[in-house]
Amino acid sequence: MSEANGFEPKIIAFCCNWCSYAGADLAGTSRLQYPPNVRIVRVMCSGMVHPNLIIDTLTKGADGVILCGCHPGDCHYLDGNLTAQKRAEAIDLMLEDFGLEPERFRLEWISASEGPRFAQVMTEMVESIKGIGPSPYVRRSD
Amino acid sequence: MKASDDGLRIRVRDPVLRQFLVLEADALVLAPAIVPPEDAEEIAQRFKVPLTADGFFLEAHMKLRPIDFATEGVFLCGMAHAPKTVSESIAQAMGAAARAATLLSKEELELEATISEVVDANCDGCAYCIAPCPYDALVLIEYMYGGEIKRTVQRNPALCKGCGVCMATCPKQGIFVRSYRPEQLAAMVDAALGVA
Ligand code: SF4
Ligand code: SF4
Ligand code: FES
Repeated sequence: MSEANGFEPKIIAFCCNWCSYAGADLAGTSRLQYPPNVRIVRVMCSGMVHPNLIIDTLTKGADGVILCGCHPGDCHYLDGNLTAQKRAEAIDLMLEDFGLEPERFRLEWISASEGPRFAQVMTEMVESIKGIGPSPYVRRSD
Repeated sequence: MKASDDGLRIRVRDPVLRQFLVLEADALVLAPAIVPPEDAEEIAQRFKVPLTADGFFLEAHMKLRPIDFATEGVFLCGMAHAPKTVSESIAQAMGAAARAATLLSKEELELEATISEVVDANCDGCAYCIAPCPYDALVLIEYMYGGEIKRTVQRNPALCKGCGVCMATCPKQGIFVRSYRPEQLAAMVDAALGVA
């Protein structure tokens, strides 16, 4: 596959069990379409994802990472999502240190009822990563 | 609509036929719109249960867990869920009561297994993880080991809910959540990326 015209990014979405993962489930049961470039990793809360895990994911094969949690006030664990939001600033700085574009990491709030929003956010993320191209860390065999 | 001596004549547009019909009726009963309660949002935040975009309560799964919430011990029925008939509400209420009874009939409840665990070898007692814990489940302790004072954190198994905020805060891999160890998460990422 040539990268210029057929770049298919790999995107990892960390979804919290209580809202975003259920939102993804709803997108599925509602038969909504979104690009197959997104692969979901379920976590209990967005506050469970260590900044190192995000950076590791981006340096070992992912072109983009999206962290999804419940809307502020809705986190199943009171305020784990707000802790995740505070960390997002640190993650942005780490991206810079690693020479990665800020667009490669996103934090989004998606509730269990927002199936359409899940599909939309994932579609946007894939489009945005297609726009900036493959991660400099990815060695592609294809 | 026109009222005459022999009843009502109602002119309605039929969306299927795309034509106007004239119906003769004795009475006209309008079904008012059902709107969610105003304080639903407050209740939702207090019980940690989700609402739909329309403002009704949202079940854990529309097919597999239709009267449960994702939050344990909270169940739903009736119009809080969605507009429905009285008989549907009663059936759902009986279901919700039965679900609640399965919890109440137990002498003891088992604690959640997916809670955090401290790795004493890695934890140096820096206490970074203590303040972010949403449930105040962590305390700093000191103990003697080989003639030296060591510091570490201790997790209260009844308070910890396994959110993992501590794990993602710790810079030294001193604490993890069972089933969500850093290695396990990394393995999931590897598998998803196909680089394993
Ligand atoms: S678990 Fe980690 S953050 Fe918490 S006290 Fe130990 S080393 Fe510090
Ligand atoms: S998993 Fe969550 S509740 Fe348990 S100790 Fe860590 S931060 Fe506290
Ligand atoms: S449980 Fe969804 S963000 Fe915390």
